[in-house]
Amino acid sequence: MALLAEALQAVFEPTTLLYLLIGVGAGVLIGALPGLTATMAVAILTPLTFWAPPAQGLAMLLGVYNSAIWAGGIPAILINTPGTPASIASTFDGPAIAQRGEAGLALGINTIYSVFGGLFSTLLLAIFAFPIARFALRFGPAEYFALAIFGLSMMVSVSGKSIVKGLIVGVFGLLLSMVGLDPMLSYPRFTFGRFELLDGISFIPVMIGLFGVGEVLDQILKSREEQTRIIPRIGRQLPTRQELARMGPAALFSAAVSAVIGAIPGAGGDIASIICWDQTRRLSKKPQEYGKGSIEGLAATCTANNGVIGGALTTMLTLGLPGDSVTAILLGSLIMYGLQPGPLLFRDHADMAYVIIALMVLAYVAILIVGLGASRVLVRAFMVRKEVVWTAVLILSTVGSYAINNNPLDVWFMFFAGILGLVLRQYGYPLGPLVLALLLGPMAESNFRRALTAAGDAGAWVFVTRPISLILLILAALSLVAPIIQQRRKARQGGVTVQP
Amino acid sequence: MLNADVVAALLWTLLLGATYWLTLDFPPGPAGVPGPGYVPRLLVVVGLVLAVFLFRSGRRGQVEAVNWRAFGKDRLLRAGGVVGLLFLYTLLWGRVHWAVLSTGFLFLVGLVLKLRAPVALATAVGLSVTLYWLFRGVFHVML
Repeated sequence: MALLAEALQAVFEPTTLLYLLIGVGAGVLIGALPGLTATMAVAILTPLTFWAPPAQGLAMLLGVYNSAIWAGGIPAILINTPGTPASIASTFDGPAIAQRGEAGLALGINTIYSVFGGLFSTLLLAIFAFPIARFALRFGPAEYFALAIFGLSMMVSVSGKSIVKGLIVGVFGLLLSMVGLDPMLSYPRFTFGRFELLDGISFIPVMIGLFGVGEVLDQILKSREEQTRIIPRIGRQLPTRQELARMGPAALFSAAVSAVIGAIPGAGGDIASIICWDQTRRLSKKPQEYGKGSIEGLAATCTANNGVIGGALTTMLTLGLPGDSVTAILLGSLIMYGLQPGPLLFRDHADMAYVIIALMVLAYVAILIVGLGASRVLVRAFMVRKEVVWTAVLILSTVGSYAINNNPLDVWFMFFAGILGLVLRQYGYPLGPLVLALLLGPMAESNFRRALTAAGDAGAWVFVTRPISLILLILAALSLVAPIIQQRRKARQGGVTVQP
Repeated sequence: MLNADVVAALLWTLLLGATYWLTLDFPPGPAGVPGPGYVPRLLVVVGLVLAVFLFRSGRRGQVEAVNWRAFGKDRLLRAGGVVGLLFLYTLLWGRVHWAVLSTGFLFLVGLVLKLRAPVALATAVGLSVTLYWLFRGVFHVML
């Protein structure tokens, strides 16, 4: 209880609340602008938080993360263009509701059910995080290595069409993570005699480059001439009791399913919302309305968007395994704050776990107030010119990369990561495995070597003779093989060629 | 004709070759105790297997090549212009006063992105001054 009180005290400090509000505001702006992602928002704002205590820094980042995902639904509903990939499924029903003169109701559903999904998954985080962390305390080097491989393989299997391409960027990320001092013997590797490289490649500048600069360049290449956007009349926002009752089962189903999906590394809000929309359509009494302006369909997708966040945070905080790209950056930020996500976080810094849970709740309270109270202002957020936002992202990316270590080399890392991000995007290489491999590389390598050293004559058998390690490795193998088998089966049925 | 995957597989193989050559300096460690060179070499082997798969997939022509021309000359020029300016900006980092360099960079980026000159200038000055105040004044970053 003392830890909880300590956490609440840190969270309710005026500066922490201010950071949270700034984060929510920035998230709304970036989330509401089509094409700019929550990952980009968190990446470019991370350097602004290094000077703050962890609670304040996390307040801003969690505010950005949650609000950007929620705000992505605003343009999805009003102009049929998702603000973030997570709100793609909101375009299935949202615009149709807006077109029949109920734009306010659609925005209200977006706010209410995003908050519901987010709070539901936060509740699950609060319930399951501590037991999972306690269980994970039993893990040895073999289990940690298997966990890293499982996380990487899951990320590869869900984040792109081609498993081989995902694996290649994963191996590339692992090799990049080996630049610097060897984690066990401090032997310099791939440093070319430069002492600046002894600490390795800074994770945050690479993330900023991949998701900030790379995203902007991609947007420039794919942008269309801006057309005049007509904002529909907003009208009433709050659903009636009958409407709430009708949406209830779909929202509850989506909240539970999306929280589980969120906990799977690599599966984000986009996948969860599409799955939940489809599944609730099957369960609905009025499936024919789905896709034509169903409030149930919209409630399901909006719940799922934010419902994944708690699940993703659970995996990240308890096992040190990021659920998606945003949680990968959050993981990097926690490490920068001197906190190591994983079971030890719950043993040594349990107050931070409470801080995160409390901040999530507060972020959703802020979103609810802003969403229902200022929707008429918010709908104008996506009227900001994209070019101005791109310019801001470019300068924030450069200065943010430099500011972390006051090191110009980090700006070069950011620059090259930006170009790499653009090229990889164009050729269908997923960025998620690269980021995850860069982050998990040192952990995977040191545990792999520790396990082998401890195993002595048993050698690599140690990974298959320990039950948890074996299960994780089997799941990892299945996650890579299953999509290929599925593709081949589809190809046989439809006569389409397969990309391994 | 070589498609994107075949070229990528060849480039990846070259990169792995160079990586392997660099790992020759790292001690592999005695039997049963992997040293600093063990995992990088293992990754090179895994990478080579993947390169073979990518090469085969490319030879079968299963991948649609990216048609950069489809983006249009205008957008390619804009993206190229931004990359060039960002390269120059990174190169001049620390050699010119940050606020001056950033204002110039942002103004030119604004023009490349076809913002009207007054809007580009206002955006450039506004962002540079604000970020300079924030990072230099508040966070004490050595800009």
